[in-house]
This record gives sequence, C-alpha cells and structure tokens, in this order.
Amino acid sequence: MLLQQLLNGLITGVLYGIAALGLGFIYGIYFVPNMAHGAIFMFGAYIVLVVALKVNYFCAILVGIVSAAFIMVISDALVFKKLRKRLGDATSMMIASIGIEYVLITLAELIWTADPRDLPVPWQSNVTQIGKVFIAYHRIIILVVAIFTAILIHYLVQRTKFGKAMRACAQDMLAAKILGINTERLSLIVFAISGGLAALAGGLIGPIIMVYPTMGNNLLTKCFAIVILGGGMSIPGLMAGGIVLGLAEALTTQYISGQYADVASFLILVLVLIIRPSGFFGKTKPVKV
Amino acid sequence: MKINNIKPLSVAGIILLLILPYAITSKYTMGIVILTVINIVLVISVNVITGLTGRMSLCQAAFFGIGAYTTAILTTQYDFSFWACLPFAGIIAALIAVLIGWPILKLEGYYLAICTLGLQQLFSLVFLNWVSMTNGPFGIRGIQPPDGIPWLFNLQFGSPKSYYYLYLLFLLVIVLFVRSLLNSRYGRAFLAIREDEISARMFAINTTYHKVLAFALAAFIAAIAGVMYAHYYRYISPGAFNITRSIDVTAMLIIGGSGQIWGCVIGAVLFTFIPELFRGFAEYRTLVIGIAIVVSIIFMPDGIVGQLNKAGTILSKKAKEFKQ
Repeated sequence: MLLQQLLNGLITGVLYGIAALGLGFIYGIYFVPNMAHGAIFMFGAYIVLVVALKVNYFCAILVGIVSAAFIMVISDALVFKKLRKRLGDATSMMIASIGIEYVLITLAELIWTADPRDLPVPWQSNVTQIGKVFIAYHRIIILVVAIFTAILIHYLVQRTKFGKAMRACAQDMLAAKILGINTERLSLIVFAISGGLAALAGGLIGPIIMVYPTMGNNLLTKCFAIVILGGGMSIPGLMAGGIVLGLAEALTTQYISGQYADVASFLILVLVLIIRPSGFFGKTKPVKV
Repeated sequence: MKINNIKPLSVAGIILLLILPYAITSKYTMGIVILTVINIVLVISVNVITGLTGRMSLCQAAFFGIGAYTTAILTTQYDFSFWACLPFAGIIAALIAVLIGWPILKLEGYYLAICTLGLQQLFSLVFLNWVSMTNGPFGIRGIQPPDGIPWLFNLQFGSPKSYYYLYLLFLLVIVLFVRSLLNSRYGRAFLAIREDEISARMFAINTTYHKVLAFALAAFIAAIAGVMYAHYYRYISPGAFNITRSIDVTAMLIIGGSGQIWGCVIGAVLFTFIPELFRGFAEYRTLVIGIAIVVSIIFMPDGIVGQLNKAGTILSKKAKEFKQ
C-alpha cells in the first residue's frame, strides 16, 4: 500500500514538475511571477478535453499545447511586454497576471460552465500489475511523456544556441541585449514554451482528476512551491522539487489523511521560504546595496 | 488632527454618508452598501501592510476568516457578547500574525507574496477541514446580530440602518486611527521601510519590529472586518475566506491607489458596488474585474487616486501659468 502511494506520488510529482517548468522559465528570465499559470493549465486541459472528444487523445494534447502557447504569447504581447518596457517590478507583473487569470477562468466558466467534467481516454480503466503494485496505463503514459519532455527541455536549454541565449538572458538581460540577442523574439518563444508545458500538464492530468474552471488554483501554489524549492530555472532542480512535493503528498495521504495532502505541499512552500529562500537546488545571490 | 485640517470635502462626504440610508429605499441596495463598508475596512487592512509598508500580503482573507470564525464560535457556542468578541478576535488574529510574520517578513517582494499565498491556502484548508471547530464546509449558522446597548438610548441592532451606522462608525474610527498612525513615528517608519529597507535600517529603525507590527495591525483590522462580516450575514462558510478574496482586496487596493485611504475607498466601492449594479450580467463580473486589473496596472500604475493627483498637479500648474 505504501509502495502504491509512493509510486502514485512520484507520477503526480513528475507532472507537477512539468507544470512548474513553465512557471520557472518565465520567472527565471522575465521575472514574471505568473499567477495565470494555473488558469493556462486549466484552459489547456479544457481544450484537450474538447478536442479529444473528436480526435485522438495525443492529437488533442498537441492542439492544447499550441493553443495555450498562443494564449501566453498574446498575453505577453498585450500585457507583460508593456510592463517590461516600463521596468515594471515583479509585483506589478504579478497583479497584471492575476487579471489575466480572472479573465481566463471566467471565459472557461462562460464557455464550458463550472461543472466538473471528465476527460475520457480509451485506456481509462486499464491497469497493469507489477509485483504488488497496480499502475493505471494512463499513469505510465504520464511518466513516459513527462520524463521525455523534461529531457527534451533540458537538452534545449543546455545544448542548443537558443538555450544559451535563454541562459544569457536569465543572467543579465541588458548584457544579453548588448551581445546581440534578440530578447523580444526570445520572449515569444519562452512564453510559448511556458504555456505549452502548462497545457501538457493539464491535458495529462485531465483523465486522473476532473476538469473544472478552478482546477488550477491549488496547482498554481504548488508550482510556486516547486519553483522556490528548485531554485529558478534549473530543470533537474524543478523536476526534483516536483517529485519531493508529490511524495510528500503521497506520504501525507498514507499516514494522515487525503484531505491534508495539499496542506503538506503548502507547508513545504512556507517552510522552504523561511529556511532557505533561494531554494535547495539554487545558488544564493548576495544582496547588493 | 486639527480642526482646520478637516477639508470641507470630507465634511460634505461624512454628511452625505449619514443621510445615505434615507436616500436608499431598497433593502437589497442597503445590503450592498454595508458590504462595501466591510470591504473598505478589509482594503484598509491590506493598505497598512501592502500600501504603507510595501510588503505584499496575500493572506489577508485568512485573518478576515480568523476574525469571523472567532466571533462565530464564541458567540454561538460560549455565549460571548459581540462587544467582547470584537477586540478579542482582533487580538487573536494579531497574535497569529506576529507568530507567522516574525519568520516570514524577512522575505522580500515576490517571495513574501508567494509565501503569504501558501499561508492563505493553508488557512483555507484549516477552515475547511477542522470540522470539530469550524463545522467544515457547512459553515456556522445562527450568529446573532450585535447585542444592543441598554444604557445608550437602549440601542438595538438588527435593521439594515442600524448595521449601517454601527459599521460606518467602526470604519471612521479605523480611518482616523490609520491616519493618525501615518503622522506618528510608526507610520513614518513604515513608509521608510517601503521606500528603502536598508536606508531605513541605517536610520536606526528596527525594520523587523516595524514590519511585524504592520503585519499584526493589518491582521487586527482584517479580523475586525471579519467580525463585522460574520454578524451581518449571520452565517459563515470557508468559501468566503479563500484565496479569491485575498486577491480581490489586493486588486481593489492597487486599482484604487495603494498607500492612500481614498484609494482604499475608491477601490472597494468600484469593486463592490458597480458589479452589483449590473447584477443581470453576474457571469461577466470577474471578466470585467480581470480586464480592469490589467488595464489599470498598465495605464495607471499608481491607481485611480494616483492618476487623479497627477491630473490635479497638472491642472494647478496650468492654472498658475495662466495667471502669470
């Protein structure tokens, strides 16, 4: 039973990690604490749901990724770019993203109503057994897709020229600009990737939990917890943070009660911030006076 | 406060507020006006920590809830009086704020916002899951209106008008308190911390002490708002004290203009009153609020009051040039 819970926790954790990657990226590079991330995740899940009724589930996920990326690019062009040009601080970006979150959640309520919906997949009830542990097919799919995505993104950031530009921007935006990196074009891609990752996580989690307009609220806080735990943009750090959170939730469910699973992750968030605000996998930055 | 400091505008405003219930006939509208008063108190509480001290707190609804639950439990189960609960709920919230604030307020900017966001979620879960204390998702019913005061003209509370005047009195006391705070050592220390914490420390301001103090004060005022809320609606449930309300009140402050009492008032009135006027379009309410937040943060970074002040300065400058 414990092993079962731990495995489920691991898979949920990997999924959290994927969702948090998107948040970590735009915070690490553009200092946008994107409160709309949970809403993007929800919107992605809904689009996957709607499209999956017509076509294959995996095609639906692709459509979801593209449309969520599109939403993020639009909100960057309309909102964040203007704030960046005015040297808007993180707090004003945060408030602006709250506005975007409201708009997205209300739109979802208007289009799809507030009732929770099921995202059906053909292999919904298929379960395989390894030793004493049962794994649903869908969870295996989640694990494979999530790990593949994480490796892909890691490769993108560490090995490509584009990734180099991203890392340069994260270190010093001005210096990157001086060296001829087109930071505006980069922002387009970074925001698109961020939205795409959120939608991927939403589409993957849809068949496990119900899809409803406020499904992203708790996930948002968890993503922030992971970003802080993982220390910004390090992809292994973020994935590890996600897994820590998933396992903590699983252990709480096992030993205390399922109702308090979320308490565990929020408690981790608060404690990490108190003990080590730069995260356990990040580097401490000295304060400049 | 000196008497010649009171501008004719505020006097006119107070008179207007006093005769307001006689101008409103519908009980429903009166209810919205009372809700607006409660919201103004709540926004003022956010203003103390976010507007004056510059530390963003997204867990104000948690303190609001602590106030409401304290009074609800004490009055329904232990027969406490409203007047005893009012300060008691505030003090409990302030104590919790001190305990929480002392470790977390060393965090800066966005980190503090996220940390308080996590705390807000934690408190929401406690309200929801601590069934033996809060009755979980069913909430607490049967909260009585404030007890009457027999020795003062035998005052009784229960009608909308009486609620309105009582809550208006609370609001005025809180507004005067925050204004006098601004002119005190403490208020100046808060502003210094908002502008630059390190220079504040260089001027021998104990920044940790003052930040925790501001946080506790904000929690106290939020809990008072919670008591007002619980005794007006006479029913509370966890849904009223969730993250949405915390974000709502912060947005009210930012749109109204942070750091200023008028900003709080304008923000709360805009958010509470105007959407109720368009009740028929209730589904679009949050949509409009969301767009308003985005537009105001892009075009009016200092809020409506900041914009009005700017317009006022430009106008007076123009007037001077014209005279010359």
